[in-house]
Amino acid sequence: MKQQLSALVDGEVDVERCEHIFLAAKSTGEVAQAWREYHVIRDVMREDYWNESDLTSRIMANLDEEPTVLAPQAVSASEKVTHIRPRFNTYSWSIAASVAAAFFVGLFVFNQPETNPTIQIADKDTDQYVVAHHNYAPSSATYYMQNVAFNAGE
Amino acid sequence: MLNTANLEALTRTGFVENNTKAYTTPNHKITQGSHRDMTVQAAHAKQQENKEFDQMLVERAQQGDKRAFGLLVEKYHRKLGRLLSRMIRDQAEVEDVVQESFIKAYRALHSFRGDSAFYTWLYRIGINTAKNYLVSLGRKPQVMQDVKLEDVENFDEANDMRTMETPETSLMTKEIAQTVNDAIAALPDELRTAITLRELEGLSYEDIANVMQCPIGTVRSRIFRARETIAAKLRPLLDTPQHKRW
Repeated sequence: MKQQLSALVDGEVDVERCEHIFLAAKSTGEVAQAWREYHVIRDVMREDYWNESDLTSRIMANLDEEPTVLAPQAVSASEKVTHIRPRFNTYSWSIAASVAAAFFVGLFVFNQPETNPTIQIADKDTDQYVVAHHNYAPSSATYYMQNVAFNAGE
Repeated sequence: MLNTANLEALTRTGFVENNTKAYTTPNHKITQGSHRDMTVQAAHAKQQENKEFDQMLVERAQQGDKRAFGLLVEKYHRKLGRLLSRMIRDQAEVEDVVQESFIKAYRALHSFRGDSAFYTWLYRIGINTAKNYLVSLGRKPQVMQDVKLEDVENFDEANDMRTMETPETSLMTKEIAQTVNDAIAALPDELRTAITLRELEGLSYEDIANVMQCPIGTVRSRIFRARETIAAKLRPLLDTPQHKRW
């Protein structure tokens, strides 16, 4: 685990997968000790090292007297990701359900027997008969009457 | 085996040019072509090393985990002290101001939204605390007036500060620094190269792997072994009882 801590100190570990390192680092074991040692080494090498004293203990002792900070929980990057996933899944299921519904409706519609077959209600002889009678019809409205055949194409 | 195309970068660490085991700080900046790219990448790598895990620690502290904040204290108190020692000469006073700065930061932690890096935010608090402290004593803060916070964030601020020896540096502090430097100088070449490229040049593991022509896993292992070797020498001086962290 200390090797993972070493990589974490360098920002070379996925933060979302370092919970166990975090727990170990804030405990009292050797990983916690390594957290201090690795940063002392870094500070010395980068000449950011200033003074070795028991300052951390003093600061933490003072913080023990402070009321615990409880901030409104910020949405962390990891939480943003986990929020996106359920929404994505919800959309996926919605889309899948819509497609399935459309499929079954379409299947039902196209499998219906042909309920409106073309029915020929007049033949050529009938047409001639109607035209002949139009000429003698008393109403002028008959001028606008036309023959209609329901069998399209004829 | 080292990648000879990157020898110039390695000479800055001092162990290629003179073939000694001396561990030296680079004393000039990269100014040309690919080295500039490498510098940019190094700055990015240094920012990455801090930002993500720091943000996680801040969020845990905001949820009431004081030990998470303790990790940030352990990580930054020396660096902040180094910075503030430019403003305040007395070591005991600097320690007080560093302590006050962390307490102020903790109290204001609920307002930290992560818009800037935690250490930038912390340094602002530290500098303001130091200024207020000096004003309260009737002293005029002078030294830090020309230091820009942007430079602090870009890690360039230390170039000038590093040249300044803190007058109150304790014997123990000097001994610790000497121990670390000696331990680094005594490291096998491959370990020393890896840890130096990481800590001084700020290269990512991927860049170090390219320079040293080895897999990234090997880089990770070498840096870890280097740290452990140095820490073994350092441990008796730090003398941290395992049952007592803080």
